[in-house]
Amino acid sequence: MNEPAIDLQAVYKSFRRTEVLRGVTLRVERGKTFAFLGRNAAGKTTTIRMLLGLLKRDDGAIRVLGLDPSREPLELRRRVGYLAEDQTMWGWMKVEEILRFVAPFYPTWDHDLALKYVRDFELPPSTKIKHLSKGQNVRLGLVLALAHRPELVILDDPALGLDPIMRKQFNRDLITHLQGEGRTVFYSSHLLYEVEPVADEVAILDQGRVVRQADTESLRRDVKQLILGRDALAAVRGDLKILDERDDGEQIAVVVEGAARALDTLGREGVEHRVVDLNLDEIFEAYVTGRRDEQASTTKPQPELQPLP
Amino acid sequence: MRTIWHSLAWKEWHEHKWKLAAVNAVVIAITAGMYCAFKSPDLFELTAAMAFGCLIPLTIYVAASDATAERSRHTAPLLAALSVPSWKAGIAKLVFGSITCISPLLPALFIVTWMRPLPRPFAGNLVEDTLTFIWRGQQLKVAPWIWCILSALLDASVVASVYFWTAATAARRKDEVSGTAVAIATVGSLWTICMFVANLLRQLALGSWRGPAMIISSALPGGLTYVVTEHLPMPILIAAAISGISAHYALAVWFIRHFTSAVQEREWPSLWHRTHSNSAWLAPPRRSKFSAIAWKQFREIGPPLTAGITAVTCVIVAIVLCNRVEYSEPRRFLELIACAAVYVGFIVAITVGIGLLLNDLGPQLNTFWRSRPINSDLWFWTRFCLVPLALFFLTALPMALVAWWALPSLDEIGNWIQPEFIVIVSVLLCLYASAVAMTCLLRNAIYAAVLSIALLVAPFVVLWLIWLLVAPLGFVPAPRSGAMGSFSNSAAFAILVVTTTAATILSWLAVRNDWGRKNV
Repeated sequence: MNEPAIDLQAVYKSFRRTEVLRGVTLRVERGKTFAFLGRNAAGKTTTIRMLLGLLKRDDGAIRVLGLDPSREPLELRRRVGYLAEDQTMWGWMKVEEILRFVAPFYPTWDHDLALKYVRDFELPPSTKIKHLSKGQNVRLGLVLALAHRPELVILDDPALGLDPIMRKQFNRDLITHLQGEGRTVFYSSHLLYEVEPVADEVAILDQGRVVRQADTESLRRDVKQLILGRDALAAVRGDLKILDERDDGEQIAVVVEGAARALDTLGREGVEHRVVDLNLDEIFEAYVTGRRDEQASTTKPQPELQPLP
Repeated sequence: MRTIWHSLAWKEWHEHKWKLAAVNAVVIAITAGMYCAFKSPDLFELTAAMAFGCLIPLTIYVAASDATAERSRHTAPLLAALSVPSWKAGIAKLVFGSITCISPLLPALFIVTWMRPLPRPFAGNLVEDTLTFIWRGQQLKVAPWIWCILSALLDASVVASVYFWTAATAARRKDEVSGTAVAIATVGSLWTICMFVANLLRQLALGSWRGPAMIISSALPGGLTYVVTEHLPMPILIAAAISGISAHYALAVWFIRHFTSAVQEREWPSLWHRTHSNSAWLAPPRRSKFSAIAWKQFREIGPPLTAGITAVTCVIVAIVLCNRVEYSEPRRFLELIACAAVYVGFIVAITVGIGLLLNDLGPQLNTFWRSRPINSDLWFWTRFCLVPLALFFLTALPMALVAWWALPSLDEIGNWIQPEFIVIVSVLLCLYASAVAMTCLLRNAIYAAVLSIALLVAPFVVLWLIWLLVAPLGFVPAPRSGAMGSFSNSAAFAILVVTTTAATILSWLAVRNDWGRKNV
């Protein structure tokens, strides 16, 4: 089956006068773990809500598992597992009760699998949800998202609010239970080090636009930091695609896209330089912060704060 | 420089200003309407009807909302983290909430007092030339402005007392609906006990116990009202005043202590359960989508329904005891039960209407259930239809049973059922549907409570105004009474059915399309 798990084509969405998504185009292949990265308020949750048919798009096309979410939301949600950021469930229900409650809505619900996850995640079945710890709450959300054996799992900043140990544990659970079974995972986050070990492919969303989509290894190969002299940079600036630029003592550090081509250019011009490999966190920062610096000079000044009451 | 009190006052003012406006608008409009149409020639009865018929239920909603809002809105951790002692926030809430509930009294009474010389269009003129005020069992003739202030003070003591009792009993609850339910059950039970004791003393002719009984009753919801209208010796009056003031002071302290601890309370992770987490099995899933939704509905509606049943039982017992109704007067007994069912059913219908979907439409749970393959139509209709069934068992069925017992023949039962029973049930259903619609659109308990009452009354008022305008043309005779009294039972029934249907469709569309205020 060649049809992608998720396919977005030039999707636009506005809330009143605020344009949240501006022509987002994405393609997620089946069986991949896809990291959807963006700062807070970049439009990640809005995109996910549209993937689930909870919001309608203003323009563009969306297909999830071959379905249009706005036309067949229920069929789609039967085949998708979803864990929201800071997911709230009915606090008065016990762990066991919410599993029994949710089960009839999924034709493919596997109660034995739910029990297995409950044991694996060490969840107390007879405890009320309001009495669960933050980590247990996230794990219960994961059980609810996985027990019907979904083809696609959408995770919206699931580890938000967990401590570092819990986040590592959560990612371990994710690798064990999802990647091991070859499911498609759409993982939204703003914590890069969190998704770096698990992601096959990455998209960076900034101010409602996808600024880069690539598989993780290609991205690391393609985006590098170069440290070179100021005069040398002035000579080759026109040939480099610079994402970010910072002073580094006497020299200057630039993050470039298309590292191979840039290195060719520098070699051809005989420019002395040093190459620094970047992790996903630094690549993301270059795309997002670099762009922000460009825009900062053109945006209007913010209105002054109101005096305190 | 601004102090902590300034900041707290600013916060409470912004949280209460629309409640204040809504409560004032509803109470003043209903009082003016009642003045035009109320059949009693006694102004004192009119003000009592205004206070008990309209302001007391609103006070219960406002107080329950004040006591629980920080937790239901999940702002309690923020409040606890501020460098302000939580008890100060509790005091500010208590003060602003009480003022909100008391504030309509003086303007409403002023309107009634200054409208007094004007002819009452649909109820005949007032009998009294001068205004009287009941003080220690005696009717005192007073000037209008004194009457106004004294009546306002008396009603304010009732309203403040109900506010304190409701706030104190709801302080540990986590949401407005369960807070209201607990308050209704508590206030209803206490009034019943009070009536029961008073009746017992009367029957046993234990006159010497009347004083102590009055001292105790001044501490109950309603406060000093019982005492000032009775003829009692001055020492008993002073003792009752001390008892009432101390009890309400204790309630305020109770509220502030429990509000403080509720705000600072953390959700505790279950350490015991963590060590006993490996369960051997899970009970099987619910058999169908319908049974899952119905199970959830009955689990959620249990507390307000239990409170409603308690309150209906209490009010019926209280009315029977208070009015010394003999079982040999079954028709009168039946009327009293109908009144009780309407009055309590009125509050219960609004409360369960608000509670039906309020939590599920909150920002977090709304996303949770909508992101599952749950059909929103099934979700809405299953829940919407189950509650009227429960309401029927709560109010209409007891009435029907008493009618069957009290009325001698099937014909009489049929005669009684047609005009009264059906309209009462329709009013409750209409209130319920209005409360659901307002909750779906506003997603705020207190505004939904106030505006659902307005939605019930509005069609009658609009049609009545049209009727007044059309009458001079000669096509129809002029209305004989006020907005609520001019329509025949069948016309009232038709208006209620249309309003109920419109409110139900509006609620369904709001749930289906996720319409309504989102920033709550």
